[in-house]
Amino acid sequence: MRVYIYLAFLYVIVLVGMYRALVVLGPLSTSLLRYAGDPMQHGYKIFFFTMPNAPVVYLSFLVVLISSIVYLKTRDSKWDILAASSAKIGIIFTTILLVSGAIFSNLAWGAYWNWDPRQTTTLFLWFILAAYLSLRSAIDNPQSKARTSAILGIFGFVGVPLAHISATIWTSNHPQLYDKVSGAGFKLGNQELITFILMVMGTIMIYLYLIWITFRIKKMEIYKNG
Amino acid sequence: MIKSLILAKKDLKIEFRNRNTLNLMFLFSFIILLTFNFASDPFSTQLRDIAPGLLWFVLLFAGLLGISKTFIKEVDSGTIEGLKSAPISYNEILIGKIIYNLTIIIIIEIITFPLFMVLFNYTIAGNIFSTLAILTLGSIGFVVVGSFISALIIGVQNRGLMLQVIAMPLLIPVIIPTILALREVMIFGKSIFNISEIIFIVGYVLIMATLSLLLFEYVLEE
Repeated sequence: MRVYIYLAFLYVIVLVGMYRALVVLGPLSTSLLRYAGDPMQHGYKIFFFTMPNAPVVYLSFLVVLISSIVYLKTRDSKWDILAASSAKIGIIFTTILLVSGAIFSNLAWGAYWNWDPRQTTTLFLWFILAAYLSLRSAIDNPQSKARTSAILGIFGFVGVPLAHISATIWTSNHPQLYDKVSGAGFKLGNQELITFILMVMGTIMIYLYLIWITFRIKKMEIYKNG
Repeated sequence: MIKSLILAKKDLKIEFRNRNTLNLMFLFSFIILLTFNFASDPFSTQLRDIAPGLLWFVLLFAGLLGISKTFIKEVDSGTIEGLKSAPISYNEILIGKIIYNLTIIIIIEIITFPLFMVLFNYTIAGNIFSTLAILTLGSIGFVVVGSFISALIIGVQNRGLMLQVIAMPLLIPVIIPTILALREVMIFGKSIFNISEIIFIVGYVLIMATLSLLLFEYVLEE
């Protein structure tokens, strides 16, 4: 029963967020992102579908990190399953982030891929997750698989702080919500801020829901195979 | 630390008895250098731009080729159990292997570098010793991570490929700043003390080394 309440809540959040992103900020709306010299016109709206994936990618790395540490301490296989599910869902969200980020990049900077530090470091995150998953698939013994991938999961987290600070330590065109130095970053109005927060919450909930399903499927598979 | 040095000495002794890995790595880097020469006209100015990257990649790939065998050699000869039961901590084993690998890489670097200068007809704008120092710093980065990963993948199928796939993403923060620093020295003749990338590489290598030492006891347990 609890699951259905949760699902209903999830749907409401996602639908409201998408409705606001599509309609309230739509072509008919007078409200526009205050983004100085905006050449994108309505193209900026992809921001609301791109940016919310970033916290989810970081979150999936954090879940892999924490459950890997707990696995190494407790040797309880459910933490290993949780790390594996998080990596699997994380790579999907990283792919979405990269693809929709490339569309944003084409609209804002004129090329799908222009080696912006943020874009490049996000691609490294994708490679780390891909390496993690391919390592898992290459080991047969469950204990050895869990231990080895837990170690790599802890190592892989170094990519996250790097991706996060990349836009500030290297020259980057990437828009920042909290540009302290110049104040040149764009600011969100109330309308956009509410939509943005709803989209972030909704995307995180989709992640939690997917990870919960993956976790249960993996657990059932292990139960079935003995 | 003394025990690590003894371990490294033992490995070097075995290596210099037949020089299998060294010869292999040298031949590999030589062949790659030769074939790279045809990627661009050797007397054009284009080559000047890409040569620092080529030099670094030759060293990187030859290095990873050698490093991938670090712990698998011990497994194949059945000496890994002896190593584990020896009165020395796991971290000292790792440090010993890192010292051994680093020695091998520096030998390859010293052979490859003059070869590169002759084959590419290259004059370096900056200081030669700065170039070698940056190459060595980058090598320390991939030796630390590579040695650790080579122990991690003992039980994996397709080990040789797996090392590249796992080590490369973790090494990107070393590989790219090293190329940038090499370009600064080799093309623009900057002094090594004015290059900000160096601090970044050192910081990243320190983080990686700390993590490796913290986690290595979990790698070797069975």
